Order: sequence, then C-alpha cells, then structure tokens
Amino acid sequence: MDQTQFALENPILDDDSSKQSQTADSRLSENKIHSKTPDPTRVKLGQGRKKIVIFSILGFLFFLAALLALFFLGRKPEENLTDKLSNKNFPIIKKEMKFEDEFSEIYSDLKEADPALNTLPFPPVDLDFNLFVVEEE
Amino acid sequence: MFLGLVFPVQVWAQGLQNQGNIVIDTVRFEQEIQDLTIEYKSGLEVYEEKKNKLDFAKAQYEQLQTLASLEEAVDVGREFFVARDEVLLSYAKLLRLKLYTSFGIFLKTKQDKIAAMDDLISRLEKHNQNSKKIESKDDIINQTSEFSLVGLRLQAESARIVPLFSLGKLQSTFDKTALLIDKVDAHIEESNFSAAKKAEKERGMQQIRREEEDIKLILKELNGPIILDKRGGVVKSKYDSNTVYSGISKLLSYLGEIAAD
Repeated sequence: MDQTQFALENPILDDDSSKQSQTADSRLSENKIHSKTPDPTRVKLGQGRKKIVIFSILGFLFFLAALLALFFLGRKPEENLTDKLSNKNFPIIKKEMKFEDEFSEIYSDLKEADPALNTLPFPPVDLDFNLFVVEEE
Repeated sequence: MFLGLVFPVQVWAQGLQNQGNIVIDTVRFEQEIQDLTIEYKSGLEVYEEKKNKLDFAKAQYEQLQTLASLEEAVDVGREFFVARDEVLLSYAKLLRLKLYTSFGIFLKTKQDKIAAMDDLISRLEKHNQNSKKIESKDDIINQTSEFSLVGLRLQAESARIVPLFSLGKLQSTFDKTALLIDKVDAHIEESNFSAAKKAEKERGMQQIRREEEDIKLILKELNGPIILDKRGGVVKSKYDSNTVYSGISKLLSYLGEIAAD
C-alpha cells in the first residue's frame, strides 16, 4: 500500500493535523501581541525581586566577614620561625638566657674545631717512583 | 678571590681578640700559613707537569735504550725530584706551623711532633740540594733510595699530626665548656627556684655531668700514647674527633636548656 492510497482511505488523520497547525498559529499571534504591549504590573514585581536578591547577597557577605573577623581576633598570635628555632635548636640566642657571652664564645670555638675544617691531607705525590729498575747484585 | 678579600679581615679580627705580643704573633703566623699554602698549591702544579714529562721520558728511554734518551730521562728526573722535594717541603713546613699555632694539644706531644718535623724538614732540604746536583743514572738511583725513607716517614707523621689539629681545638673547647658547667651548677644552687624546679634542674645537671665524664675519657684516650698490638700495628680507637665534636655539641645543647629558664 502506497502513501496516496493510505491517505484516501484515512481522511480523518489529515483533518486533525490541519486543526492542530491552526491552533499553534493563533497562540503565536497572541504572544506577539503580549511582547509588543508590556504589562506595567509585571515590571514592578521584577525590580522587587532584584532588590531582595542584592540585599540577601550583601547580608550573607557581611555575615561571612563578621565570622572571619571573629575567628582571627579570637586566635592566639603564632610564634614566628626565628623564635621557634631559637627556642628549640639554638639555645645560644634564646631570650633571657644566663651566661650568654660564655655560650656564644664556646659555640664560636666549636665551629672552628669542626674536624671537617681541620684537615691537611698528604700531597698526592708518587713516593715510590723508580726511574730506573735497579738490578740486584 | 673572595677568600683573599675575606681572609685578612678575619686575621685582623682574631688578632684584636688577644693582647700584647700575641696579637702580632697570631697575625704573622696566619700570614705565613697563607703564604705557605699558596706555595704548596703552585708547587703541586709544577710537580704534576714534571711527573707527566718524566713518564714520557721514561717510556721513551725504555723503548729506545739510547744515550740521548738516557740523557733526557736523567735531566727530566732531576727536575721531577726537585719538584717533588719542594712540594713535600712546603707541606712539611705548613704542617709544622699549623701544629705550632694549634692550641689544646698536650705540650709533650706537641714538642715531640715539632722535633720530628724539624728533623724531616732538614732531611728534605738536604735531599733537595742533592737532587739539584743530579747528573747521571747513578745519581738518580742513589737519590731514589735516599728519598724512600724520608717520604714514608713524612707520610706517617702527617697521619699522626693532622688529627691533632681538630683534637687540640676540641680539647680547648671542652675545657671552656667544663668551666661553664661549673658556673651553671653554682647558679642553680644560688637561685631561688621552687623545690620541683630545682629538682628538675639538678636531674638535668646530673645527666650533663655524665656526658662530660664520657667526653673527658674519650679525649684522654685520643690524646694518649699510640697503643700497639702484638704484631706492632697501631690499635685504632673506636672514637675519633667527630665523636668528641658531636659530644660537646650535645653537652652545650643540654646546658643551654638548663641555663635558659
């Protein structure tokens, strides 16, 4: 059965599709009328929503800033790295230390006494060099 | 070049720490050590050059076996002997001067080693004078046999003297540390710490005294006479300068904790 024969035998289908296309055209033309003449009530409602959104964002940011400020103000100031090192590894420069001069002098001496700095290796010369092989008598 | 700029300043600063004639001596010896180091380094360069030349001359003589190649080998051999003696002489003088200016070494050990070095320097100078007069193959053979004993003795002395440099300085640093330990101990006794705090510090001082005693024994062993085994070989200690260095460092760290509060 070809398409022409099918259309002749089922005329109702053709009628429905033509009705549907007509209603779609009428809706389009209604929409065109709405876009050309804007509703004043609808515009007012949009501005109000924008204000609410802006104020809520600002409020949230303010709340966040207040939280951060409270967090940093409430924290104990951290020791800097130099203080940490001086307290743990280098007692020589620790604050309020007794006998600081003596410690300083001994540390300076110890630095000079480092075995790695006090070497004088034997010169790389050939001590057994024989120019002529001596024949045993 | 950078070291050259820094070094005089360092010498001057060290000189200022002392007083009287010691200032002049320190600066003079430092200058002498610096001059000898330069002489030693340039001597080594000359030696390397002569050694390469001699290796070539020796190979040529062994291959050709001609009078001309023998003459060439003797000439180059003379230059080689003189260069080697000069390197060893500047090294021996440097070693002696460093030993003389080092502090903290037992006086007897220092005197013995300086006397040994003086003897070696005079033997090397004599050998150097004779090397300059080399003219024949026989002269070369004689100078070779004369040198062998001097060279090996210098090498043996160097192996004994070099560790003394840091050991002497470490001994001196340890002596100063021992004095400071006594001072800190006396300070704890005089201070008005709470009973708990005082007990804590006293426990710390006991630990420090134990560490101090250990280092004292190690230093005594290292500075003591060389012990020989049944076969005549040197019995090597399980400790060395590094053990003492890290021991003093630890001692100072403990003492710093006690003195800090």
